[in-house]
Amino acid sequence: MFQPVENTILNIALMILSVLVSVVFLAVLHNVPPNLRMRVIMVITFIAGLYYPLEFFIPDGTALTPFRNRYLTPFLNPIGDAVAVMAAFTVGIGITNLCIVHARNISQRREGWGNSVVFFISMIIMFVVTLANRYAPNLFCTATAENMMTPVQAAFSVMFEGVYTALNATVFSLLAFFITSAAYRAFRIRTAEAALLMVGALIVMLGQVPVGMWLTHWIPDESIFRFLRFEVLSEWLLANINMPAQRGILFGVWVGALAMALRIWLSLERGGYFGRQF
Amino acid sequence: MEHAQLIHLLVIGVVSTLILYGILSSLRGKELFIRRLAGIDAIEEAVGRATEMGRPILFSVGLGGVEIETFQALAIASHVARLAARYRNRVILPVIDTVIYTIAEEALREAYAEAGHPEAFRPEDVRFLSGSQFAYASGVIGIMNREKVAANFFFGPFAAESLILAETGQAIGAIQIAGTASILQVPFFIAACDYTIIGEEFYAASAYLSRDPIHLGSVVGQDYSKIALAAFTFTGMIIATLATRWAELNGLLKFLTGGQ
Repeated sequence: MFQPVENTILNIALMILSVLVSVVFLAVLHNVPPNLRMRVIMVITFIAGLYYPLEFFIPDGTALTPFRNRYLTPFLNPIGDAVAVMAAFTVGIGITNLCIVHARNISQRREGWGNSVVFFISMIIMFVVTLANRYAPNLFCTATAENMMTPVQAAFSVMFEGVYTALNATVFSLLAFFITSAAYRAFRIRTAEAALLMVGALIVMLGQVPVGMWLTHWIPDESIFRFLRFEVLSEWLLANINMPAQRGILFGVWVGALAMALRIWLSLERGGYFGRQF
Repeated sequence: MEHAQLIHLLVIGVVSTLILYGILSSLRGKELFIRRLAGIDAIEEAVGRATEMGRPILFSVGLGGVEIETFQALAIASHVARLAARYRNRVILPVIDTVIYTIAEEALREAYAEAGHPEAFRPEDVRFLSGSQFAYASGVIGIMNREKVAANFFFGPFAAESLILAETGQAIGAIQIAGTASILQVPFFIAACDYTIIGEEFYAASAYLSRDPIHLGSVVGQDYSKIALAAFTFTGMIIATLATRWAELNGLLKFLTGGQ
């Protein structure tokens, strides 16, 4: 719907204007009486919240033919972009908070302050290398062969794939050990329910692995006792016991989420961050 | 964006009306009862225990970005912070999202002020750790170990990091209360936490905590909605079964579901 502005000067002018308008709007909002501020926020929340339900509920013509046109659909991407831009304002605040916390750790020599030093070194190196890789990959020299990386690209690859991705995978791998210890505690048979859980889990596990299938493979396919095969029992437990229970819980979750959404949309929510009085 | 079929409008319309009816009934002074939840009752016990031990409290909102589940988690965080502020204890709230960081800081600041101890709030206790899931998880377990937290609260949307956090809390001996609508993470929390609030209980928690008529009415409206949905599902099941026999019913089903 909105085409990107090609003119660089106009683009920069528009960006400055948007920032100025935002700052003025926030300054005005900050200085008006609390009651008026709450009312302005309520109206904005209601109008902003109204867009998505209307866009969702205006029929696409398959159920009710008179309303074939999707009048609101062209605004979908611009509104999404606007939300992303507003969220981007907070990234700087988040990074500032991170720097303040770690700078205090270093200046007050708190326990583990060395980690904060590592944080600053890593952040600066990653920041510089990522920017260089994006805007000046041939900073020191150009690649002489097709599959060859320049020093900047190689540095980025080492930092991102060699360090960051590997560290992520390392933390993820901890999960295997934690699952074992949690499973040990969960499956200790202390009550009738725990015993039932243990039996159910054992059947499901055996139904998923070849050794489980092998254990009951001697029951013929055409036998009336076929349901005793681990893979059949496992599937039955998952589809007929587990899935309905999950769906039952999800019903409640969806209704709860809808109730919360309604309360926020209609400014009925009175949590600490929504203002105590209006 | 996917567009609604008539059936969506019908279901969401009925559920919304019932929830609003519950809220209006409550506002008109109708007495409403909701049963107690052990996990919610344990919040005060956990905060008290942490205070007795002279250690801080950790409240994680998981991978919460700007979504309903996170707002609900922050409403619970405000309550925990008010309790902690009463005893002048610290609540450390690490976040993964910068937008939520700004909202969470404001929520905790207000909670401490409401409890009458604004000086007990330390802005650096609300921390943006990282936008990456496992970097966030390692940051949180680092905080748990370094700060020697005595109580952990895990409320909000969680994924694979749930067990990493909960098991670390278990290992350091912290009392742990979790609540999430992420159904796949519920078993992990049940295995590793002292109390777990599941499914809709998570959304009802603020009503139990605040006893606010709007929240109470909303929870009762949710219950009406679930009864209606159960009846609706049962009717749909019968219609779908009969539709295999009668072409007219099949036509009605197609109309309601937009020809699918």
